[in-house]
Amino acid sequence: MRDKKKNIAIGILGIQGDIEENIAATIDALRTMKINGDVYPVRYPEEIEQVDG
Amino acid sequence: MTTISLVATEPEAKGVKHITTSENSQVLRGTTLVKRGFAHMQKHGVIMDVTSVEQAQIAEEAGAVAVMVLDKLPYDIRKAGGVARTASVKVIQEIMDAVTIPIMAKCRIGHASEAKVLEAIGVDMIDESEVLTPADEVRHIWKWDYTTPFVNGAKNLGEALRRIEEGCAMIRTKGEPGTGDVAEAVTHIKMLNNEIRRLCSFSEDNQELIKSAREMKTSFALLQETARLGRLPVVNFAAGGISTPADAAFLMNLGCDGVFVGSGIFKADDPAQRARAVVLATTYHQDPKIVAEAQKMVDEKKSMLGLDTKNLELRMQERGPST
Repeated sequence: MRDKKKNIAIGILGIQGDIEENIAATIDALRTMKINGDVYPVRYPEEIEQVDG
Repeated sequence: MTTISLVATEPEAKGVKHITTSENSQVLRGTTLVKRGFAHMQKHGVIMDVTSVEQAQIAEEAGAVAVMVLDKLPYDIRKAGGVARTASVKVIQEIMDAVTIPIMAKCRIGHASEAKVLEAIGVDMIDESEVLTPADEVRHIWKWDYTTPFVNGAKNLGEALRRIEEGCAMIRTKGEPGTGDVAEAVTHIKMLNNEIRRLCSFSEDNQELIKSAREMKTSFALLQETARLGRLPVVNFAAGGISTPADAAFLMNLGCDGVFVGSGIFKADDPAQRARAVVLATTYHQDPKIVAEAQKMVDEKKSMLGLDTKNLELRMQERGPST
């Protein structure tokens, strides 16, 4: 389970298109900006509630 | 940073265009990154064969990522016989005006002029397809000469890599189009998966890799990249015989990146509902409950009857050169 207090949770819409590529790019951006964060694909409506943005 | 493989490219290819924009900046069109990137943007999606504006609108409404414009659906091509050629320019342009999703169109294998026409009218991707009557029995189009990306069919790894070497940006299984029988597409994706697995088992052994490259008549660099990635260096879609949501989910679960549906939707008696169901099953292919919901949306009695692939007069997958 992720600790949302420590890590920001970024959701990537995981329906169609470059899903893996967008996840990889976002992880890379977080690393470059030295932000503690996790990236999750969002495929179901209820998953939107579990991410910060 | 890119996750798109750029191995075995032709940076000085004729298809790469240097454009000066109205703001006087220089941009490149038709690079390998753009072509393979466009194909990546279709991943996890469904591309539907259409023959009219009405069908294209149904496809768009259902959530298709793109439409493939043909003169006749593969099932009707089999029934009509004769020579199957690219669709009418007028119809393609009407569809381009009517929908906002990308438009793809088929040209005959080896028919460079049909491909140039499709490029000139601005289609987003060209399918050099065995569904149409091949124009050249021994050569495929040299696709590096085009700014527009291409998709090609393949039955196995060697065929796929040879098409990529010619500049193709997306591979699809050949399957047996217009039959409503998914078995041939399954055979092709399993063959390709097994060959890649075998390749991965000696991915560090260049002596074995060069031997395999020579056997498959493809480049060492492409084969090495495939072994490194554990998959094709370009997107690989399922095609040929898909007609139900469960068919689409099955092929996605076998490792396909997306699905082409040809006759399966618009030769069925419930096209709009079926189109939505196939998109749903493709998107949530790993979730059997949602695939079951998608299956509930279609009535098997309304599926296309289909054709027995063992007794076909015309096996489209065997048309055109495979080398």
